[in-house]
Amino acid sequence: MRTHATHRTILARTATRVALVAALAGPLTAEAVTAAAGPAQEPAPEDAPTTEESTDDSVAGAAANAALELQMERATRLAELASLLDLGLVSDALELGLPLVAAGPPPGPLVDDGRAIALVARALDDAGRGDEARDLLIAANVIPATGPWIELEWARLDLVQDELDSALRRLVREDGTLRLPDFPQAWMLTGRALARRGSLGAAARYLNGYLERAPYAPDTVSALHILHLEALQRRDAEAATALLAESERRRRAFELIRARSLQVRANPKDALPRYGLGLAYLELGDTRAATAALEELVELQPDFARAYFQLGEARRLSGDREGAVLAFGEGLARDPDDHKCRLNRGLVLGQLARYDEALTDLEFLLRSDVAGTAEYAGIYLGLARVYDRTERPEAADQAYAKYRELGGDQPR
Amino acid sequence: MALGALALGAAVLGGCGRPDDASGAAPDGTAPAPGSTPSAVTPSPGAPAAASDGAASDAAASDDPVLADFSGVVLPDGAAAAGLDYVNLSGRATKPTILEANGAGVALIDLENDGDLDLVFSQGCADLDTLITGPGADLEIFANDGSGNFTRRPGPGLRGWWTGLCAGDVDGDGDMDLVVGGFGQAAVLLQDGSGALVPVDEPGLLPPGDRRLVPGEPRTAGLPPTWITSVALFDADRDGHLDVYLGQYLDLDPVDPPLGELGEGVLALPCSWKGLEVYCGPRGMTAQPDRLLLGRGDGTFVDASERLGDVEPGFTLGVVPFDADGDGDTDLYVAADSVPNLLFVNDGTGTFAEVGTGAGVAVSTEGMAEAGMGVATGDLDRDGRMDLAVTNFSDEATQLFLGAPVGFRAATYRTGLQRETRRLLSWGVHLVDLDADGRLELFTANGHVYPQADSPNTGTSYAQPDTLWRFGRGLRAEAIPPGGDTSILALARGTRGSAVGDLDGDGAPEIVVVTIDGPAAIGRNTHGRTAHRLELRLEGAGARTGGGQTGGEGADGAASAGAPRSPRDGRGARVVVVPKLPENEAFAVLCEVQTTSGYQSSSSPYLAIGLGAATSYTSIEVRWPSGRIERIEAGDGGRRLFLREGAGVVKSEELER
Repeated sequence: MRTHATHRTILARTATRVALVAALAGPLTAEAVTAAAGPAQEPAPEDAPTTEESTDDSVAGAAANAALELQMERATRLAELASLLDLGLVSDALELGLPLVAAGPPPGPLVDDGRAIALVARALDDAGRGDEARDLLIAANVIPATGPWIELEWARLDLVQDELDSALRRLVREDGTLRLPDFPQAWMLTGRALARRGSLGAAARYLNGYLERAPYAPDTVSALHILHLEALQRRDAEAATALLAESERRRRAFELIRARSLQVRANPKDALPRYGLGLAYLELGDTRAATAALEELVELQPDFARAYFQLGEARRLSGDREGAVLAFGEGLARDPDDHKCRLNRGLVLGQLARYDEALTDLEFLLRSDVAGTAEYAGIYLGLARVYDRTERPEAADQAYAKYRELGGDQPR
Repeated sequence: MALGALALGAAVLGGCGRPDDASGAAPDGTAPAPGSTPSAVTPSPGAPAAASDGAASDAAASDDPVLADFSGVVLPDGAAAAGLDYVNLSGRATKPTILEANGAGVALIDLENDGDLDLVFSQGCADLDTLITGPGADLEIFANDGSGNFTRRPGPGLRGWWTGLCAGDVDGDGDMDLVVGGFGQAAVLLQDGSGALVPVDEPGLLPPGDRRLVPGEPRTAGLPPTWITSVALFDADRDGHLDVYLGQYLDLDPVDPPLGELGEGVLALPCSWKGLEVYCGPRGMTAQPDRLLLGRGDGTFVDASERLGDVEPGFTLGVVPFDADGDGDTDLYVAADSVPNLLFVNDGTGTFAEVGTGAGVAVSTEGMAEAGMGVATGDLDRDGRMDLAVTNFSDEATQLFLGAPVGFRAATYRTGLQRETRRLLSWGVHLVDLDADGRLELFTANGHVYPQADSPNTGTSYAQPDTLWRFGRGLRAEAIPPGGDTSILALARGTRGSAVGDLDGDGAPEIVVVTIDGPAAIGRNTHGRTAHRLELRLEGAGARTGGGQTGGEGADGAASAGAPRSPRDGRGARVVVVPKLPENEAFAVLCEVQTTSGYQSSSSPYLAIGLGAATSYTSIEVRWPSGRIERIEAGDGGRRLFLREGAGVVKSEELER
């Protein structure tokens, strides 16, 4: 029997997966995830008794489990649907999605979910079945929290039909404010419509808003490119060049992510494509997605030692220092000579004020053959910082001097 | 209407350029081009830059009354009735390799110098194996009797898998020659005086080494041949000799082509589209760099690709030469498959700078590199600047880029072309005035690359009808219905290369389309019967030969050695015709003598001008590549005028109606 803690982990992972898919297929706020997946469940405290231990609550526990299972099932299907669509697998998306949103009887499990209906409508339109897409949207009767997805899909269809004014009427009030400002895609669609109409300056405001709200979504490629055009129009060549370069960088990253995703689908049990997918997300800068991909990898193949360093990095860059330490530790457990894992664990331990443990790692490296190399200059920076905080100023000075000598330029 | 008046003012003040733009001089100090509006292709400090879908100037002529005449059956197929029995062969029906999906092209060329346009088709083979074992395919030639009826003639005796063609007077002797590319092959064919096309020995089109594929010769794996797609003859360095740009595609090993997946092991990438297994490429395969070769004027060429600069190789499918910046020399636009398109700007000496991104024509408005299958030019919005139409894959729009004061503006979405074209996969493309109303229509030749497109839920289909749009008020695209089953717009099939030109002598351009694995079609132009037309045939002074000239003079009237020259076939000349109309209806027509357009094909070098409601013209101004500007005085429509550089109209004849 699964414990609440396990459920919490699965839910967290599912939420991550959904968010990842959202990044691929469109916007998804936490609020929308909750709405799409069903009523929110208050997670149990960390130290809450497991269902095995709390037999008195077995009935309530079972009900909670069932609700969680249902919630997880909805989220998983939604994520899979979005993923299929993003990979261009329209037939597969329809095969999965149409039963989910079928009016019935019996009704599909996501018939009241605006997000699912919007995705299926998009798939229908991509499949050349635009009339069915519209019929589906017209007939949709969804829970209010997911209603905005329907409206956004209408706006997207307007854009596809070059009905720019109609799209803008759906998206923007007369005073220029967005009707659905909590939805990143509303910002993107508005920016896109304005740009297509030739109003680059007005588009820029919305596109910047989109970048703030969905910094790693595939549409950021387009947002950045349009902003590049707008910068050109403003005669800001420097900004235009930078925006274009970033757009191009992301385009390449998303191409890689798509290729790796297809490889993962083709070889779901092989570690290498999944590892490549994690690296591609890291390259993009989407550390949350990278973490999810690499966690799936190490769950699938726990002995894939190289993955732990990247997982540690993904977690560290996501701000999950404790998780990073654990990942680096797993890597070292499998390969004690993985100096990169040890260095980064030492640095993160120092940031966590676990100075003794940090020193153990960093001083270990001082005795290794990587000591004194520019590639591992970070050893000395880490030592300097730990020595500073443990009131060993002379040792800190020496370590920092060595760090600078090796070419390091970060502040102490 | 105010916007119409703007166009009028421009016409009166110097062709179709706007008064406030009518400044600037050609690099050699000659006067600005008549009727064409100078523009920069990339932003410079202080200048407004390219933008997406602009709102103002591109609508300049769009509020005029629409005179389009497309009643009855539109472009009825007259191929069979005319005796044209060409049937394309492009490998196997299942299209297991990318070469087999790309199809062939057609060239309109006057053989025998009898004044009409004959047809030359490229041809493929049954599959890659039979290409290797030989004998390979020859070109297929059909002679025109002058009224649009054709008789098959013997081919020139080539052997290969042929792709792109371009007709032009390569040797400057007054008749049209042909350059043809293929898969591991390329040839220059000169007319011998009797109308026969005779291959030039070692014309220098292919690099030395193993890149040549000779059918029947033993071949080992691992040697992908040079794969030429579109071919563009133009005068890069303005010496009067035609040069050639060879668009090239990708490395495909004919002995061991990739099937099913690219790469090996768990990192192999399945060759799939929408979940369906399809042939591999172009993504994941190695692109071949395009090449520029300078003509010596005798049918041979020397590689000058370094003049293109350091450009990352793309997967070129379509090429069009045109004067992008209005400075009098010829630039190049290159449609590349799955990677950004290129715009090469000529510095006037045949050295190029690639500026596609800065000019706003490299990718879609939203930064996406699209399939880039074919490309056409024309002044769609009649503002005195050349515009671009670029065909793309299904789920991508045919992009429309309007020439702007600086660079180009995407007009795809505002014109409604995304809605119109997103289900289509288009190749050949033309901006052509079929009904002589003075406005250009947009024609695309369509057909998917994957037979698997007929599977459920692809949103498209393998066979697709060709399409034609006119641009009405607000420059909104309006699809022209076929009007009957015999229209080339009615039959769903897969067409690739296409060419436009008057085949029956009435001045109205027909459209010839090459169907993959099927018979060619001729869309007969029966439209605009009441409108008046002009056909212009231009003859340039030609390159300087020996101690003298082949005719005419340089830009300054002197025979100075360094002065630019015009090619004998007039290629690169820019013409502005102003129909004689009341002030509130006036417009000007800008066009340029070029033959490469669309995909792997060569259209008529003769300019077909629609005068709209006018029966005569006020003026014709010609800016020759040499820099010479000639103005032809007013005259009647319904004529075919022969213009020779420096001599004006040397012959005039009535168009058959």
